[in-house]
Amino acid sequence: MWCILLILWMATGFLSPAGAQNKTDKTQDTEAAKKDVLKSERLFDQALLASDTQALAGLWAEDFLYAGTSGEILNKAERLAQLKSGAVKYDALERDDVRVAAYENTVVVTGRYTSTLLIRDSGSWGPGGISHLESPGRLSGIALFTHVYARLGGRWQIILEHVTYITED
Amino acid sequence: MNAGRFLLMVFLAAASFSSAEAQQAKTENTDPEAIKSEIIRLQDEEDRALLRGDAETLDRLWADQLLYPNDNGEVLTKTQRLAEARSKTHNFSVFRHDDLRVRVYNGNTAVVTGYSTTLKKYKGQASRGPRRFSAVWVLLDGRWQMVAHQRTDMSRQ
Repeated sequence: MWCILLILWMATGFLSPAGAQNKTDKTQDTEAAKKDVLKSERLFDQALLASDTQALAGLWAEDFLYAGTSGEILNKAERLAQLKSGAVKYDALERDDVRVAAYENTVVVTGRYTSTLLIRDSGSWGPGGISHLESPGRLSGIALFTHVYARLGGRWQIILEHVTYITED
Repeated sequence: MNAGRFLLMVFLAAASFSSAEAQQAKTENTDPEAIKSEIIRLQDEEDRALLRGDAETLDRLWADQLLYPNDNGEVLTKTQRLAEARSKTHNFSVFRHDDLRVRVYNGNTAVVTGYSTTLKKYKGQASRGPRRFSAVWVLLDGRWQMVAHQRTDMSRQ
């Protein structure tokens, strides 16, 4: 009988607390991930406003994709070139309604950008030359965004940005 | 029950637990090409479920923390999206996806991009697109679940 009780104690003692501990660890991990990613998000906005392509290159994964406001898809090199050339310059950028969902190796951030862009000249970025940026001038509007982070090489990197204008003038 | 039978049951349970863990590890180590095929299959399953308004299937495919910014300026949750599917607020009559591309990260995260030329009515208003969409799938509890989706209606440009 003592043998049975010992086995039961071992089974409940090893499995259940391990499961509970695991759950606590995961919660702590996701909270830490959210904190890290929100810090990166602040750096991201600052870098966009400053056209700091070096900082952006550090935040974006090599496989980074940008789904732009006209439906174009730019890869990391194309998006960096667009910003580096000064063809597009962020003059104002504010965010609100930010929501974060964290998983083991992935974090999703959504929110709303109110921005003003200065468009220096027309562009033809992305497949087929699709571009929202055909008219030089000022473009203000409100857009929804999704930023997706993956933990790559031990740090959080942005793998996707999708931006959709909901109002513009 | 004698002690021998009980011991056997405990060992079988432990073996089963280890096997489930091993199975999950195996799923998480699947090669990128197999993952891409699986994601495209799931994307197709989601399309068909949206067409039918099949909330039960969508409930399984969408993660509990799903974030769904749409081109009407709303960020919908899973609960809201399921309510839309049940009430047919978002009513699809034709579903076509093109240029689907999948990128896989860490073996547990996949990003899909593509175009959709979907004929739909949202809150009574009809639109066809084309739309650029992106979807993100994450391997959670041993199965792929959609955690984010965003689309841009290109016909508005």
